[in-house]
Amino acid sequence: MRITTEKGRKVHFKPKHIHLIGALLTFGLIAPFIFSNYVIDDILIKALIFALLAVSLDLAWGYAGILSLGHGAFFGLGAYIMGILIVKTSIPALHVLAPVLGILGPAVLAMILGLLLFYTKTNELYIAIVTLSLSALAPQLILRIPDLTGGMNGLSGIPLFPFDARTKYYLIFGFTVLVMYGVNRIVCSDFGRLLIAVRDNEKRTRFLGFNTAFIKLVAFTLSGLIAGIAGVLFPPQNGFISQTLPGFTTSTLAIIWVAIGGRGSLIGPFLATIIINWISPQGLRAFP
Amino acid sequence: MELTILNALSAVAILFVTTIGLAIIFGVMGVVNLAHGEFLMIGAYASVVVVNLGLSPWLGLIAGAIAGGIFALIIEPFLIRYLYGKTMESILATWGLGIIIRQLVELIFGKGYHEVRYPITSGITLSTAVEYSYYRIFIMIVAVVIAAVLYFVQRRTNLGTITRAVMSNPTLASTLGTNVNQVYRTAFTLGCALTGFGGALIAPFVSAFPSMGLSYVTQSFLTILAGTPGSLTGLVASASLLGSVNSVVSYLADPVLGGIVFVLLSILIVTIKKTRPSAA
Repeated sequence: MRITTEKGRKVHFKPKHIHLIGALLTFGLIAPFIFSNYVIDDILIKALIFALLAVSLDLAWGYAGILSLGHGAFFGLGAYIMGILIVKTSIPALHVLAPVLGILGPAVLAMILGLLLFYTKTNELYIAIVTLSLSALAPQLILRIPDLTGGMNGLSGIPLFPFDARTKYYLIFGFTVLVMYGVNRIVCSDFGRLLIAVRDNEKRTRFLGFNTAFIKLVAFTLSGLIAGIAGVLFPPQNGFISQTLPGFTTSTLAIIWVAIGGRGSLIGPFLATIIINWISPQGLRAFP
Repeated sequence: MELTILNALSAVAILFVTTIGLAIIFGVMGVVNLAHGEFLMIGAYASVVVVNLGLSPWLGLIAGAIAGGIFALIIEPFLIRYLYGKTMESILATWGLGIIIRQLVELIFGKGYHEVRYPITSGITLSTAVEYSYYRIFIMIVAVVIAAVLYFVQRRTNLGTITRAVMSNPTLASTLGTNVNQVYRTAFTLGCALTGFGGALIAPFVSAFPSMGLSYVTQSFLTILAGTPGSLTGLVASASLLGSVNSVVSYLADPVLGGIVFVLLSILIVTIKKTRPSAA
C-alpha cells in the first residue's frame, strides 16, 4: 500500500490496485448491457454474494492471519437465520428484522468463538481445526431440528427479491461496492495496519504493547459480520437453502477463492471469486 | 449401565485407533495431515475390495494397513517431503490432497455406501440379556496392544530413541549422523499404515463411503492437541477423556451435542494445560 502523508501527522493508505478497481467498477456497471439476463441473474449476482464471503475470509485470514477452515458456517448461519425468520414466522416485525439478525448472528458466533480461541493460548492449528469442526457440526445441527430448518429437504419457498433481474443486479452490485468500500476503509486504517502486524509477527506486536487477542477478536467478528451480510443476501436470491450451505464445501470453496485470488488484498479474492463462479457453471455444463 | 461403560470404552478405543497414526505423523515431523480422514477411507475401501474378492475380513484389516502404507510411499516423495516441519503450509496442501483422494475414490467406487462384513459376528451376553459384540471387544484389545507396542518401541528400541531424538532436535540429530529424512519417511509410512489399519477396523461399523473421513479428522486433531502432540501417554489420556465424554453425552443427549462438547472440552483441556509448567 502506498503511504501518503497529508497535512499534519496522519498517515493514509491508498488501495494499490486503484486502476483495477476502476476497471472492475466500469465493467460491473455495463455488464447488464452485455450479458443476457440469465447470466446476470443466476451467475453474476451469486458470484457477487460469494465474493463478499471470500472478502470476509480474506479479512480474517489475509489480514489478521486467522485461518478459518469453516467460514461457510457463518455464511450458512446468516442464510438460515434469514430464511427461518422469513418463512417460519408470521410476525411482520421479524420479517423486517430478519436481515439484521441474520447479519448479527454470525457476528456474535464469531465473537464467541474468538473469545474462546484467541484468549486461551491456542495456536493457529487449533483455530483451523476448531473452525473446521464448526462447519462439520453445522449441517448436523441443522438436520437435528427439521421443524425449524426443513432438515434434509432444506428450506424452500423463501420469497425472492421483488425486482427484475437488472434492477436486482444494480442494487446488489451497489450494495457490494458499498461493503467493499467499508472493508477497504477498515484495512486501510491504523487498525488494518495492526492486523497485518498481528499476522506477520504476533509476538512482536504483543511485545510492542498491543492487545493482539482483542485485535484478532475484532477482526474475526467483523469477518463473521461480513460473511453474515453475504449470508442474508443468499436466500432471497436463491429461494432455497439446504444443510450443505454452512458445510465443508462452501468453506473449502471460500479458502480456494481467497488462496487463488491472493490473500492480503481485498480485490484479489473478490475478482477470483467472480471469475471462478462465472466459469465453473459454464465448465459444468460442458463436462457433466 | 455396563452397556454405557462398554460403549464408552469402545468409543475410546476407536478414537485411539483412528488417531494414533496421525499422532505419530504430527508428533514426529509436525506435518498436519488433513488428508488423515482420507487415509482412513483408503483403509476402509481396501477392506471392501478384499472382502468383495471373497477373502476373509481379517485379511481386509491387513489390506487396510498395506494400502495405507503404499499410499504413504507414493505420496511422500511428491508432497509430504516439502512439508516437514511446516505447519501452516501442510494444512492447505494436505487438505487439497484429501479432496483429490476423495474425488478419486468417488470416481472409482461411486458415491454409495459399501458394506463390510464383521470378522466376528457373535457377541458376549451381558447380565441384562444384551449381546455385546465381540468385535468391539477386539478393537479395545487392539487399541491396548498398539499403545503397548508403541510405548515399548518408543522407550526400549533404537528406532524409538532415534525418533525421539529427531523429534526433540532434528538439526542436532542430523549432526550426530542420523538420516532425519529417513526417520521422517519411516514415521510417515508407519503412521499412514496404522491409519489405514484403523480405517479397515472401523469399516464394519460405518460402512465405507467417500466422505467418511471428515468426521474423524477434527476429532483426531482435537484429541492430539489436547494430549500434547508427540506424547503417547498424553494421547491415551486425552483419547480416554474425550472419547468417553463424547460417548456418554451422545448417548444421554444427542450426537451433535456430543460433538460440541468434544470441541469445547478439548479447548478447556488445552487452556488448563498451558497454564501449568510443561513436562516434555
